[in-house]
Amino acid sequence: MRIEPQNFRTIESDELVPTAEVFKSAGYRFVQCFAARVENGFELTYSFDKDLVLENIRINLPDGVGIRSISGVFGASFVFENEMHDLFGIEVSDISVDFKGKFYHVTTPTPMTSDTSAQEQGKEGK
Amino acid sequence: MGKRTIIPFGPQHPVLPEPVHLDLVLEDEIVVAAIPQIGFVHRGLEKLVEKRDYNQFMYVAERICGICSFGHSLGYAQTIEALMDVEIPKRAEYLRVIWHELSRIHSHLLWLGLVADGFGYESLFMHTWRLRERVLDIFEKTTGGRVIFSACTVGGVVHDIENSELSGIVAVLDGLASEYAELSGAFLKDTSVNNRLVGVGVLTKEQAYDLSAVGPFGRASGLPYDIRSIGYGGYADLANFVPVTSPAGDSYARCEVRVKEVLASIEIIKELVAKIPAGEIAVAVKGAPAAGSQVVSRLEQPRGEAFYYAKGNGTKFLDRFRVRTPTSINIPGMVTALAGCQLADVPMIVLTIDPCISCTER
Repeated sequence: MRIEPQNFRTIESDELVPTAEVFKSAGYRFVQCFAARVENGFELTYSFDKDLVLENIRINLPDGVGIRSISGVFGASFVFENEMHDLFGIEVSDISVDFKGKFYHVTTPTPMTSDTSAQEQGKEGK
Repeated sequence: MGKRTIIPFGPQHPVLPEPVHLDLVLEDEIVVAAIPQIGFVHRGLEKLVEKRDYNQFMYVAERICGICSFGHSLGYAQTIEALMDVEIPKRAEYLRVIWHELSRIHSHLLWLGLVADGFGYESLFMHTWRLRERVLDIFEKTTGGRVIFSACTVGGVVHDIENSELSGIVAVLDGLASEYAELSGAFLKDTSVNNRLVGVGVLTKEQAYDLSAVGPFGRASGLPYDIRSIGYGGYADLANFVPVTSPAGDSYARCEVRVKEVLASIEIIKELVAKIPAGEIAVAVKGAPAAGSQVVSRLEQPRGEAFYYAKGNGTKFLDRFRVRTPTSINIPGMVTALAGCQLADVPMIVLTIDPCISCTER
């Protein structure tokens, strides 16, 4: 096998915690969550696994809008939610272990949010 | 309730030469809570993917970590190949698994040496690392490198291993296995070793599942969870892959799982050497990932499941590359395993998740 099934589903940000609860009650395991910078906001991806099948939940988050933590449902998520806050500047509320911006010791605030010149050149086809 | 004290553990500690910090909340000598802290040397390698094209980034991916170097190069390569719909030759798939399982052997032997040193059994540490050296010699002979060996490329592998040399590798591993049987007895049967490990830092099966524990850490709590079961690449052709598990969930079980996984990896290598097909070892990969294309993929690293994500934008530069390493997801489980232990057992319990902070600080 070269690739496992790519299951992506987009939901609204206020559906995240209820969706996580549904996954939890169905016996899913939390795998990870991460953010990606997109135009005028962020693309968040949360992954859950049951019997080695991965389900990915996608949320499009506009700039300046926060998200609720799922650490009350899946305790392991606090690591990655703190990461989202420190590297992308996304406000995540109610994290079970909230480092309040001190999880990563970064010299540049929210270092993952700036576009690089190489990427810009690539997009312009240079 | 006794008097509460907070004791800092790390980021510099003799048993753990990597920067992880814990605030240990103690009542007398008992740990009642542990608050983890990482991020001391975060390198931002995920951001670097925007400045290096997908071929150049292979060299960055395999430098995420030294011990897990080949695993990360394999994880990155399989992700980009899936993103660009590239099918690599069967022989390359087998060679990748052979190197990856050799990496698992070397990683577990390294860990067993460290844990022996951790409980003060220095001769066991030296003998374990003496055996590990033979695996590094195989790396050097087949790739030219001992730690980072740049054997993977997008589209296959850089080096072939002649069939006669593969037979030689099997002979080396057979010799290693017989000596290793003697050493593993010291880890699994020695009374003083057992006194340091049995019943220490227990993580129940339910806790392991709730906290998403992966790798030997989770399997030592009875979770039969191993990404090799999915059947990526050469793993698909294994006749009967069964994850190594142990039900107890304590430090001894975590040691036992790794001890047995070394032998299991030797068997996997022997099976694939017997089955390896002839043929090419790489295909040429041209073009760039399509705009909007995205892929998730996973790999069973020595420390557990690693998660990879890549997103293309029509150029040779990726929009986003994500690695979720096994150690980062095992931190919550480690903190839970620490609760209720003796202060003197903290270094041993931290060591038994086999933390790789270099991976975590990617």
